[in-house]
Amino acid sequence: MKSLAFTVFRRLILGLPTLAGVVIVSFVLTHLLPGDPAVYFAGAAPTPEAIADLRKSLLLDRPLWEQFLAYLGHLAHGDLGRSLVTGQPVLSDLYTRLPATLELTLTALALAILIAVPLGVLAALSKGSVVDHVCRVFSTTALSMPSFFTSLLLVFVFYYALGVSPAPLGRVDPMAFPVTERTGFVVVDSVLAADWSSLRDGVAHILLPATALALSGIGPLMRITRGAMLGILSSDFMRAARSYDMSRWKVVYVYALRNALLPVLTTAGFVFSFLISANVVIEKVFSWPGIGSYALEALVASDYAAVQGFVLAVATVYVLTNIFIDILYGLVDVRVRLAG
Amino acid sequence: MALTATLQFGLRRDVLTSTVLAFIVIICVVAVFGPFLAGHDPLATDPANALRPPTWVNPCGTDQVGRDICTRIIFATRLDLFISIGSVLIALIFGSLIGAFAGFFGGPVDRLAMWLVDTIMAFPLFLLAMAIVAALGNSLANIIYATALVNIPFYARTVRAEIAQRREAGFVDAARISGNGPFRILARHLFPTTIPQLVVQMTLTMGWAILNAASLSFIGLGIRPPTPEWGIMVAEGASFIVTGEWWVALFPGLALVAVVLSLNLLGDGLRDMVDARDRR
Amino acid sequence: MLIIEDLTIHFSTRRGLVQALDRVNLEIAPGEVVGLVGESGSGKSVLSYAISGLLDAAAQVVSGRIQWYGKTIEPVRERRATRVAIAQIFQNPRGSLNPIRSVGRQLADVAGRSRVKSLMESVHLDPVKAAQYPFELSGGQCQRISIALALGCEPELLIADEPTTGLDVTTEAAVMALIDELSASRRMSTLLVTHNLALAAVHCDRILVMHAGQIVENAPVEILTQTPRHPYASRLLAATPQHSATAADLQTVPGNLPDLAGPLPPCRFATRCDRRQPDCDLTTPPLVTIAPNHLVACRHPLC
Repeated sequence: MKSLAFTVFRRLILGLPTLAGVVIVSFVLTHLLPGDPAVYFAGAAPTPEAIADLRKSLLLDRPLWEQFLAYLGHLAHGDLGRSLVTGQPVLSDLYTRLPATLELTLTALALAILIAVPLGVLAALSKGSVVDHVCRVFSTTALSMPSFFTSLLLVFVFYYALGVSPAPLGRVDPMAFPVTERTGFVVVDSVLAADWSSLRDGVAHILLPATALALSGIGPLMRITRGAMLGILSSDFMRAARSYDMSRWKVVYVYALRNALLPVLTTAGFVFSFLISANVVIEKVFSWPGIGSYALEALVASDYAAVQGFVLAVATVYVLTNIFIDILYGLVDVRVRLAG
Repeated sequence: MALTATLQFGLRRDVLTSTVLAFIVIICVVAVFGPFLAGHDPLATDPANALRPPTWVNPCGTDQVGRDICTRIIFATRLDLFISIGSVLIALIFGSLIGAFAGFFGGPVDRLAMWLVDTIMAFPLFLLAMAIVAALGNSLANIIYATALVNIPFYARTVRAEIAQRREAGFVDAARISGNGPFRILARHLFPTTIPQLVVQMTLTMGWAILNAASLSFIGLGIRPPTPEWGIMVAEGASFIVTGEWWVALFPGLALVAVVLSLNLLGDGLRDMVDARDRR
Repeated sequence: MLIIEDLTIHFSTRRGLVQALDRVNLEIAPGEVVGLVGESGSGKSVLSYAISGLLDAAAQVVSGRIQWYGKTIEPVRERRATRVAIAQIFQNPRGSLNPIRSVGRQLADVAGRSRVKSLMESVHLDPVKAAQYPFELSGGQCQRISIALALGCEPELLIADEPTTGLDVTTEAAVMALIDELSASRRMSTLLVTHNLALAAVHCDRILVMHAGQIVENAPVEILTQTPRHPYASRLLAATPQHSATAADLQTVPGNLPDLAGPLPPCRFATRCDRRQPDCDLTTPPLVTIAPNHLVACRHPLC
């Protein structure tokens, strides 16, 4: 395991320049946001002197590079500033809202994988046939539909027309008694508290947004699975495996699919970050209290600190996800693992 | 030229791709000429006729202020196609330049270029586009620039990979020996080899650019109403979904999906052709 | 045991119709070691895959058949009604093994866990290595594992498709010695497919020479290596280093293999042959018996 710790360390170091770039870009971007934070912060009917004082305390009258250094200093202390909209420290805002987004994104990712991988395998095994073409057209169509459109379609069909799903108004029924929060994930917390009605409620509310989100991820996942399977199926060792008269199940799943899953793993990482992007739209449509809707409100209100904090948080999650995927790949692919 | 020959050969064999290409041509025609042939004024409001379901007069119904949705869709086609072509061209130019230099010169140039590209890609791309548009303002130009910027990495990487792969090839050495300077080699000998992959990338990016612009408009950070654009139209129709006026959001959405789907299918078909050619 | 009669196989590909095998005739008796020799692209691998049943669905049997103990079998394994005791080892030893599975588990997949140890011992590998992965083993060791895997199927016929290409000379000798030993001890027939005539001469009882999808000569090894009758076989022999006194004496076979996707003359060697006569272009020369156990497909064979 020493090599594992070393690998993690090495990857983190390698990710630093990118992280530095991210910090710089997020700083620059937010300082381009229109509006004057001092005016917003000053409250109602501010005097010019009050605004000038505020500006001094917010360092807005100092040159940009000084502000940047101050920003870095704050970052080092874990201080992401205070949100103008909520009045809370940005860090605690993000902390409160992150579980909602993560629960949604992870559920969507799981759904996408559960649908896309079997379809990809099916398409590869029946290459060239009608089934293959249907699968490919399906994945391309899923890829071509914007998440806002799929959300609305799903809401129309399942809420309005069929009445099966609850109203798109958030994570849980606002009238119901909230479940005791332990992880922040409604589904997990409900199971932990053995609160079955909350579980039903949570699942019913998460199903539509997660499906809409998952559809965006199915496209690339299915294609990569199909491509990887086709490549593996035509490889030398697969031909050899055929010659040993092993059961078809073993040949396809244990031999072919496990090898094909390696590129799927990397794609899953990419899809995850893509889903975090697409989250913003879904959170808007379903009034989901996650960091996506938080960012949207912040952007519209030119809430400096909140936007900066959000961008930094998401980019960090992304970089960390990539590192995690790299490490996972190294563990799963024996060749990489044993070569150190 | 070899590329057109491949295209013609491929198109004749692949029915789906040819059909899709024909469809896209029709869309372009609609985009260019549609506004002149449309029956209604896309901006003319008619409150008395608000929220009418599809009829002969209004094939897609009317929206909440009585505007004809069909006409608005046609006008939106022009706008969305313009955005996508504009941003793709810009991304193509800058991305290819970055990728070409990175792939050809290697070393510190490559590392710097890849650091830039990686930094852009470290952000979930839609969020980056959102942030840029919010920072710079909701104008059409800013949307195009933002979309272009987040697409640059794909072009840079494609071109870099193709050129780095061929950098040491025989024909490059031959060109070098006959006295061609590095820029000439890049421009005349190496870059043309990247064109097939670039064409594939362009069709796929165009689809994505339209989705991007529509999504931005949907959340309020893109094109502003009353300009007709597919994303805004769906956003405006969203509130009527739960009251049963489904056509306000559905038709613009369908138009959007149809165009993006065609572009994606075309890109797939082209990719199959290009890959097959390379394999031979 | 194995009888192939007039087997003709075509593939439809992007480039057109590839006429991979043309009226191939071949017989292997129990316990025989037969060599199948030809240049790269001569169709020997296609023939070996057809016997093993490893061709893909694009293969069409235009005429002829493969018979195993009197019953016709398909060149595509999945279409075979029953299991046939034929196993194969391949050219790229490491590439023929599952890269992310330990060799012991791969052996267990084929033969069951109880037999892993004995199989590894029969190919002279330390059973301790069962936990290792293909990339940790040398090429020779990987080939031994492949042989063990093939043995795990209890074959009556072992097809060795270029088993030593890519291995160094000492390893080549060791692997071939292993194959010889196993053939003898298990009374297993072997079909050695190779481009190396010298190798076949050392290890085989009988050699078939193949050219562009056609069998051109079929003779016992002593006769083929001393008095081949087909012009191509004789040129192949002249091209082996053992046959020549100095490097300057080495002769190549002129010309190239014809494109199997294009129009083909009846005798596919005609364009490269210096004994060509007008009647060579009329119909395909049949494989005729010119001496006991000696068949040649040529109208004007060498004397």
